[in-house]
Amino acid sequence: MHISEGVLSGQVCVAGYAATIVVAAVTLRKVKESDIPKISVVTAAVFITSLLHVRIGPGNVHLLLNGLAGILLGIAAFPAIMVSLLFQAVMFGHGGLSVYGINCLIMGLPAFLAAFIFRFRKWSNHRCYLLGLVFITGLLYACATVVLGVLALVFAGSEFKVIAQVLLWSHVPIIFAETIICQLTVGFLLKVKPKLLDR
Amino acid sequence: MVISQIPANYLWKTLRYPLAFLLLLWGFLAITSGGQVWYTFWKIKVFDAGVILGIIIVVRSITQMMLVLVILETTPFNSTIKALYLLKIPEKLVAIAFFSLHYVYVYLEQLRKMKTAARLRGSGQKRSNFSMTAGIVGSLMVRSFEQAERVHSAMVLRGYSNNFFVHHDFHSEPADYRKSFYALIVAISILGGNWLL
Repeated sequence: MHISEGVLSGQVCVAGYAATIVVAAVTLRKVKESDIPKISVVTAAVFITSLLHVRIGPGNVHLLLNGLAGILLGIAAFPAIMVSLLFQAVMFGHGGLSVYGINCLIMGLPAFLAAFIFRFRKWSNHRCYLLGLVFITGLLYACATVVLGVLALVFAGSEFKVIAQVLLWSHVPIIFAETIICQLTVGFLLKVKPKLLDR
Repeated sequence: MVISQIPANYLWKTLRYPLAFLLLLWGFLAITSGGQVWYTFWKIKVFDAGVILGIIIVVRSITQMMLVLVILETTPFNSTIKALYLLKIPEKLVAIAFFSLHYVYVYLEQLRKMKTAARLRGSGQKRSNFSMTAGIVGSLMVRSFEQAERVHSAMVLRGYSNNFFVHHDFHSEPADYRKSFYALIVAISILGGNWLL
């Protein structure tokens, strides 16, 4: 979920950029140069798969997959999401450069949340525990992404209050789809290549 | 836009979906923003504050998007990467963007093949939409990780030492400074208007 170009005021955009620069500086320090090819390849894969649409009822929703990037890459998911959002803004006009900072925070912070929750995987290797943990991870990161997006609109001004409420409820199918897809994908990876989930 | 000679078709294809969303947003704002009523259509009230704010947002968004298009679509990608590098954007971030863009096209093609293969196997009829999508996402992740290991090994064998170099070179000319000045004036006007409004 990202905010479109020109919707937010200048002050909010500048604050978004300031916070994104700080978070990016901290995460890039912890990223090793030898991990750059892996991060690049996963960034491209996440960008492409976020273009996939899932049919829900009469309509289609497109996936976020920021939490999945957090599960796979950990702290390095933030620069991956920054690059993915840049491609979306430049290639498709989704989001934009003035709201790029805010969009990085909306998509990047839930990735940290997903990475943090998924660390509890080490507590047990039991399949039911792992699937339950993934379900909670997927649900929480999807909710966090939508809530952050709605909060950004609320901070934009009181005129956006009703739109923020509409967006919140209209994203419930996306939260549902994202949780299911995250559960099924991580379940697939646990069966096929569990080494991918070790960081 | 006229000077940059970007085709109108391409502009329309790039801007039509964001424009549709913005017009929808304008409609919502016009009827939900509150304040003084400008017009009542049946039982729907249109507020003047919402109409004005909607116009500002649409104009601001379209002009910002067109500015970005002019900058990025008239410059070779290698020049853009070199420019980011010279503007002191962190080297790791520039490297990730550079390598990622090359693999985007590889994975687009792989995704197309996987979706075709899934359709040929009757997905959507026997398997649910969700499990098919999760299978595609999972397969793409597995392939991307395996490719990452091979890519890194190949790069190391070819002398990659964790330093990112951009070999593309360009030099500034007086015409570049003039164009940059005009673009800067436009950008500052948009940002200043954005800030004031």
